[in-house]
Amino acid sequence: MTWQREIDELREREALARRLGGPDKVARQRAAGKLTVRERVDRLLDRESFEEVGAIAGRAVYGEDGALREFLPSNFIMGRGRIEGRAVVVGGDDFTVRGGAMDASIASKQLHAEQMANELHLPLIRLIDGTGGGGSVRTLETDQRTYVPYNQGWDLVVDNLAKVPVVGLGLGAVAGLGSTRLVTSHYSLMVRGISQMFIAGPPLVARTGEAVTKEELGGSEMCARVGTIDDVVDSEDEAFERVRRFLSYLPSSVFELPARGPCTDDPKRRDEWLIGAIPRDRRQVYDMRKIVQTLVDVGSYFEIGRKFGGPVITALSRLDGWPIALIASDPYLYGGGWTADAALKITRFIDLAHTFHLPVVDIVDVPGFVIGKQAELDATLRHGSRALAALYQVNLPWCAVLVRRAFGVAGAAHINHTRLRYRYAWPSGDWGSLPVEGGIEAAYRAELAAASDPKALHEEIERRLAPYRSPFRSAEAFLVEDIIDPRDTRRLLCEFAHLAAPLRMPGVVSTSYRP
Amino acid sequence: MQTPIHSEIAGIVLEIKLAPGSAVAIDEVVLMVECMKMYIPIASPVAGRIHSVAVAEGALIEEGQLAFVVESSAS
Repeated sequence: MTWQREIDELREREALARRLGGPDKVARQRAAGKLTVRERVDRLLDRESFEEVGAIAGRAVYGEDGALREFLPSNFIMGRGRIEGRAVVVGGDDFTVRGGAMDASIASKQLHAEQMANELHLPLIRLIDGTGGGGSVRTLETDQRTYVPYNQGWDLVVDNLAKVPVVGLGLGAVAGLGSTRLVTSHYSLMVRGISQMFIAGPPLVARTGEAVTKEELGGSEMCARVGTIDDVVDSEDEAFERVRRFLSYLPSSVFELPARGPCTDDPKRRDEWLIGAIPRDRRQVYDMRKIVQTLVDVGSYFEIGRKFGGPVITALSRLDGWPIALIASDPYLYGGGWTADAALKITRFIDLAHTFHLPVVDIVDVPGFVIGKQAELDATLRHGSRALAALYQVNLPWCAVLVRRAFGVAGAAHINHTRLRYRYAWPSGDWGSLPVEGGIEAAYRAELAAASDPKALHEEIERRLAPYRSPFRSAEAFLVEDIIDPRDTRRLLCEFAHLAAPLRMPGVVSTSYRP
Repeated sequence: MQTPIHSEIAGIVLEIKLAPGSAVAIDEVVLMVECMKMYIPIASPVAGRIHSVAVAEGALIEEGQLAFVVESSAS
């Protein structure tokens, strides 16, 4: 006598769970242009690598004879799997069962997924599609009571940010706790058209007198622009592809180091055009992305958060195979000056690099903080001060390349100057506490006021000061360590990556990541 | 189809390079804005004809403000 009968029942229950919310609900999910949660898991993970945990959890109805009559599976599917051969934990909401709301799921499954990632030191991917929170007011009637809200599992959710890579994918209309789970990650994505995210959806907002559609209230483009999520993609498959890319630069947990990737690009490669990459006319902009993409290993550039804090570019990349965190300036947006958003972006990115032991390369052209009334209203000083604190709190290997401007407090924030200044400057370097163009009025106020022709005097002073702006004058006094031929930059950065690799220290870092 | 182009930066409009009625190519510069002592181009992401320019030379432009509208035949 074997246990075959029970195994048959187990298979039967698994088959019932695979029906999700039933054919009608699944058809509705597809009609909305969305994959089902099981399709999502299959497409994200390596082929047939999903080891589901808790597959047969759900709500059952039994007949008087004790036989199973009806079964509605839990609306949270989770387990382990592999991505590019590396073990991960994945957990996804099933919108076809009660709209992905927590009240229909076995809440402890969600916690289990968080805990599994936490204790097994594995990356966690959350596929979020629904509210995932307390659920509907209907539960008042079924439970005949209410409760003081609490953020279930938040100790684990927060601890995971300090220990394992966490990726959030918004794959439907996401609200409440579901939104918070999406944002509380190292990397968050939404899919154009099918994903929206808000605190509360249009019906609740309508009660405040504001009539808005889902897209108007929390469209993916808007969420990326205001920085509540990192990136927007066009399809779920593209989202899964980006998850795989993102994780490829990171260790499975902070207790390991980022692994060296393929080394297919010559570390000594010299791009001739770099010598003319920065225009001689200081007012003229240039394409920073083209520059940084040629400095790093071909094809390794992975930009994060392009739509937010645009004066600052943040990307994961590789140098001779070593993963690095890359910061750069985009002169097209405020000349690369730091806005409040740009500063917040820097802070989060430094925290990401610190948490996962990624050496930083900073390609600098920062004219300072963006100034003016709007900058003050945006609390640029608050966000800028946080970014500075982040810079001085980390002890990461850090290399800065001054390609053009470094002015003022924000310009100075390209390196922790009290540590070894591992720094290079291109001949186009231009720096100081204030740019000459704006600083003359303040410094020569009395002379200019007394002059018969202030404009001519201004021009004369500018001409007088011009030679002192030469980076050679700074290098003479060893105020900048080295001026280099831009074409040698890649070779020197690859050398930096090699020197930095053995300095990386696994473990939980002192300043944990905050979303 | 009309495509409104909004400024991604605040600054002073230095120059309007294409007047209403002019043909415009993808990535062709329509306005120059001075910001943080730089001359920053605002280009059209679509091809077509300039329908209208919403700002004047010498005027301030705010982040998110309508800069110009492109009329294109693309569907």
